[in-house]
Amino acid sequence: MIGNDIVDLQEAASTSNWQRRGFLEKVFTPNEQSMILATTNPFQMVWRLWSMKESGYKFYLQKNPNAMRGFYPAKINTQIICGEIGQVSIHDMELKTKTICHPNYLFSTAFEESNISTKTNIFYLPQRAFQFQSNFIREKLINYLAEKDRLDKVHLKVKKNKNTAPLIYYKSSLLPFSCSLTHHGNYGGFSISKLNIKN
Amino acid sequence: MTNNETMLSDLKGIIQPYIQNQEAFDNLTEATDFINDLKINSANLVDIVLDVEDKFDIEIDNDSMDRMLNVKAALEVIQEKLSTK
Repeated sequence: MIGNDIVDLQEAASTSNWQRRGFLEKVFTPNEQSMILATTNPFQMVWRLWSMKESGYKFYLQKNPNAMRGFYPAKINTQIICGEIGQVSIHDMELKTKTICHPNYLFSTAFEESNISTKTNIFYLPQRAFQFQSNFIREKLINYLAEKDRLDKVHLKVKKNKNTAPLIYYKSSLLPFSCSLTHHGNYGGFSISKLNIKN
Repeated sequence: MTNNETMLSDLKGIIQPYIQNQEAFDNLTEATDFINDLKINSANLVDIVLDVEDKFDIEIDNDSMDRMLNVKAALEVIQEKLSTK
């Protein structure tokens, strides 16, 4: 299982205002709010914690495909452990996160500690249209798998279940991968990990 | 316009700047999902909730926000909060 989330920092700066009244209280726990206000770069911290929460939420839905969707960011607890490594608690689940902090974007991945072998690819998206971006990322993922496992990409398909976790098929067989797709503004990416048999 | 129609039209005005699927917006119904149908980025859901609070002069607690994922739920929350003002 895997969940990811990207924040295009320029997009976040232009479409959201974390300083508006009520924003922090709706998204963050009291501890997180204190941490944000205590840093020298609260903007960066807001979006880093946001992407950790979102990646944890996506992990949770992938693990529990029948769970109710909801918008409850302040009920998802985040902590920064050290550098790029963090922790997310969502419902009864404890996850580790890794956040890549690039000058243009933040990219968080949530995973179980036992399964940290994850491949992540991030790319610039030359167009803004939703359908373009969605297709572009799927194509990147298919090309990656085709090359890595020497598969004929004509037979590789990415499908989504109702809770929107993507599944990868080769011909009609489901491949043993967990993956997560994300895009925001002009950036997008995928994360993929091999499923443990016990999953 | 009835109150409900005004409320829906106010809500549409609030969500319009954040939508990424115009066709789904043009065909909006109560069942329309903000993320799955309108392709609104989840980071903008909180902006929508805050805009709704400002527009209707209500306060939306986090438990109510939890379910505001589609038009029907958003209208229900607005109605609930207006009725207890």
